[in-house]
Amino acid sequence: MSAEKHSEHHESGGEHLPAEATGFFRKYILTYDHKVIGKQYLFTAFFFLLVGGGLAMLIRWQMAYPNQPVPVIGELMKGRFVFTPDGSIAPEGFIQLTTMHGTLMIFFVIIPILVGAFGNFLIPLHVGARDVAFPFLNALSYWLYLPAALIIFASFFVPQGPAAAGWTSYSPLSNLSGATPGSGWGQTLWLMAIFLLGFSSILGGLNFLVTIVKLRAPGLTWGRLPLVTWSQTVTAVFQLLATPVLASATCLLLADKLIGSTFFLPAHVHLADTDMSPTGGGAVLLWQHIFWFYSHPAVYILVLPGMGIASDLISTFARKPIFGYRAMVWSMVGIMGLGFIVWGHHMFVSGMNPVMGMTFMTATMLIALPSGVKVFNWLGTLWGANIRFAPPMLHALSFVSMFIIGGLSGLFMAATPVDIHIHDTYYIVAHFHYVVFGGTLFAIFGGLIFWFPKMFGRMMNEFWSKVHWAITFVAFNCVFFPMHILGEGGHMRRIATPTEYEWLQPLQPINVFISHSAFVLGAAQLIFLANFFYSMFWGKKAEGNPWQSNTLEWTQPSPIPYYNYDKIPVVHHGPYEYSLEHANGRGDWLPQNEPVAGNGSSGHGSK
Amino acid sequence: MNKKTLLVTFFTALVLSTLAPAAWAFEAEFGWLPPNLNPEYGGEVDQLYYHIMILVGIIFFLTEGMLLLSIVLFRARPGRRASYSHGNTKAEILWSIVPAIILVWLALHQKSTWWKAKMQFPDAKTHPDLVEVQAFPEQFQWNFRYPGPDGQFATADDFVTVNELHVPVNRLVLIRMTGKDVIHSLFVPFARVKQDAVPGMLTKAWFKIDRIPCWDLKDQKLKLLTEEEFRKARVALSGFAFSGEPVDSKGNPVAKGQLWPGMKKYSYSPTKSKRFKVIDQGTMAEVAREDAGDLGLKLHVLEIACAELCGLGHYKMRAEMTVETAEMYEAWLRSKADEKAQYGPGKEERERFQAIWDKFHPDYNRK
Repeated sequence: MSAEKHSEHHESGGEHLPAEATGFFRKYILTYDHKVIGKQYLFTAFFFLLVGGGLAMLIRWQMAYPNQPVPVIGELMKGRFVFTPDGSIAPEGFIQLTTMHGTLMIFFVIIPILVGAFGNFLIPLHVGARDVAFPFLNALSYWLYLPAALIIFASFFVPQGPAAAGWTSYSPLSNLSGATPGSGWGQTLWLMAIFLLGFSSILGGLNFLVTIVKLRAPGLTWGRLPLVTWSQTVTAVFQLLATPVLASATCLLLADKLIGSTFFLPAHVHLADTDMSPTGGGAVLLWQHIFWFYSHPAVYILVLPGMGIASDLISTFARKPIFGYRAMVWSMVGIMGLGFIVWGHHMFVSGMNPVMGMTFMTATMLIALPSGVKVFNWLGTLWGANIRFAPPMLHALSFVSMFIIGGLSGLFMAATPVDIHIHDTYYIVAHFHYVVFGGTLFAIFGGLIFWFPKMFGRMMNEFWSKVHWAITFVAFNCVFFPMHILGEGGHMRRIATPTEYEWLQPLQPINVFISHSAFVLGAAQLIFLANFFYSMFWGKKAEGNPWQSNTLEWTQPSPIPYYNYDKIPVVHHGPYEYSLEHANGRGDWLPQNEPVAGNGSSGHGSK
Repeated sequence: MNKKTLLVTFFTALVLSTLAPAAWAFEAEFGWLPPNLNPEYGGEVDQLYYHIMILVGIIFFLTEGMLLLSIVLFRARPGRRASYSHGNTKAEILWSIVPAIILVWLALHQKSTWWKAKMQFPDAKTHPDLVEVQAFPEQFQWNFRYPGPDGQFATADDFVTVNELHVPVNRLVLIRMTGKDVIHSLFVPFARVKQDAVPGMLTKAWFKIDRIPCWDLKDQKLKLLTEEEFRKARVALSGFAFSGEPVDSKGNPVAKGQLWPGMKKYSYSPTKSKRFKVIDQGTMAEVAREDAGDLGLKLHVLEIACAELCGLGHYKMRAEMTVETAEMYEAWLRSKADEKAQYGPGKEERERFQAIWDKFHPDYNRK
């Protein structure tokens, strides 16, 4: 369906819509339906969530019991993949594990779920459209993500295994094939996959942005957009501006690796006694600048949609309008603006000019400001609320409390002198897991349980959702909070055996505690997956609006029909009109498409 | 207690139960941060850390407290209705401006320490007794070059050590470094020093160590002596061997292959061959001894690690820094010069250092 056709339908009120395809292949595989494409992203990402999580379990085994054979898996995989012939994890295998864990989780799990799955599924629904602006591009963006995912997965099976230079792939370690096992084929495939994924991201961002700008339903002004969609708007801008930079960086590094250019190699880099770059001319720090110019904004791509989801869930289950809607929007825009000028805080001790360190520190500290405004506004929303503790709300509240910890721990490493001590230690690992797991993943769980009825027409089991939440919340904190203590103690990241160093000896019991908690945390996720897939087929049938939520998708039956809206809805007010005294005969909610009786068409938030 | 109150109690108990024991376990062993032996800026780094900790602590308890309070106070009850409010502009302006002021202050508050640590390097003109060393890390070892008796680098009397750095106590040390193969990062946790050594760039780190690490042979743990205390102590230089047996939390040895090995513990005991070198208290010269006798201390080292992922051997890129008195340091320099006279100039590490550093980066030797 082309864009022109779409707007035609838009005006004609849906009389001449083509029929839904009925064959399995057309319906679920090669489809242009944004809802199905969203699910395609979701299921692909689920697979990589399992793979990435499995790698994390192996990492934790090695940290608790260095060089001891891994039970069961080690026995099965002796001498293969990252394992030594006695079934323990080899040192080069360990850095491959950390590299691939980071790469898979960031690029192939979190971003595809947040942007690919939630963005695809929710944006057309929230703006009251029948599909995204460019359905073909939308499908294309998934069909670029899938080969990228297959390429990165294939890199596990090439000689010397997958990339091992960290998810940041710093040159020269990633650049010179001989620098470490995995910097040959593994790293090349890594770069190709990220390059393809970049295109997927750019197409997706473009598509979402056009959809939100052009396809909003009548009456749906910018001030009436749900915050999820606002967060996707900001994220789309991020993707459009930052991802091309990553694509060019991977291109240059590929050229260095494959055709002998030296963009990221200075003269006379020696491996053993061989001069690897007699001519040189490149700069090692250049890669770090370009990589972080994308990857720092990517951190916000990882968390902004999570913030949006949390805002929607909190308002819905607090039964109260979001506190300071405009501030919520502007703080996201602020995070985006500042997000582009803080990348240097990853490079305080890299040899970058220390004067620039001051600049990046100040910018980084200031980014706490819009983040803080968001936290305060969530707290303001909860104050005076009437909170329903449904599973999505438990996850949303966890998001807020964990994001606070993740945000606050960021201040330590933003302070340049303190960063000297904690840079490249477990403090950093603790910090970003609080943001990406404690923040984003909780928002993802909450969002999936919340919109599950709209996706599959059934409810997820409430009891098991709560069990999963409780175990995850406890185990998560047991895993990642003690990592701050490891970091303060000077425990470096990415070291294969923590017991090599005397000053790390007293910290080893903490490592053991973390690992055991991590195994519990990993196992708990199986509860979620089991609940998810069981409920998909055998869950309780969902009504149209089980949570009494206001946004447009809840005015439709569950699951959402093929064309979303038979008749394009007309929007009369903002999405968070909860607990408004009105004469419409509803308790404490008011759908966006319903005018308030006797009050004209304008509720609050009409501007 | 109803279900909701139970939930809140659970939340609170949870946070306390997970955070407290872990924090306590570490604190009991070590203090919040590892000991700091760098009086030049290490103490300031720690202080800034604690300043941020206090600030962050206040915000943490305020915000999480508000969250918990809201969860308790505003839980759904039949017949209750949430207040209909879209916000409060005054409150929003207040909680934007106050944090903004605090954050900008916090950023400016870091400046002097950052400047001192990374910008204001000591030089030989203002500090004639400055100890200058070059570091040229490679996969997977730390190469250090000393200028030798003439005080000039890239001359015939230089010597190179591998994974071994000697510095005199209470004197400024300046390390110039570059990378040979990939990025490495010089990390001395006890001195709050971290600096990447990058191929194609010259980077610098400086510090001063004000205490001498010794190993208490009776308690089998690290002791940090001031120079004065050290001069009064009787300290062994050799004759003790290291063992790293895994022990459980009570200190009992653990059989290999057992699932819960807990930790390895370093300990030192007299070797069978019984060659003890001891530092003479008056002259700080080495003397040989026949028995371990009353020796309570062994001269120990500070560990140096690589903080930047540098390949498969990253985890074992460990170097040792020996901190010693001026006399001992001079004696060590002399012994290195003698060694060189004995073996000639063709020592392998030095030649490799010269072949790459001096050939391709001669300007890195300028002071």
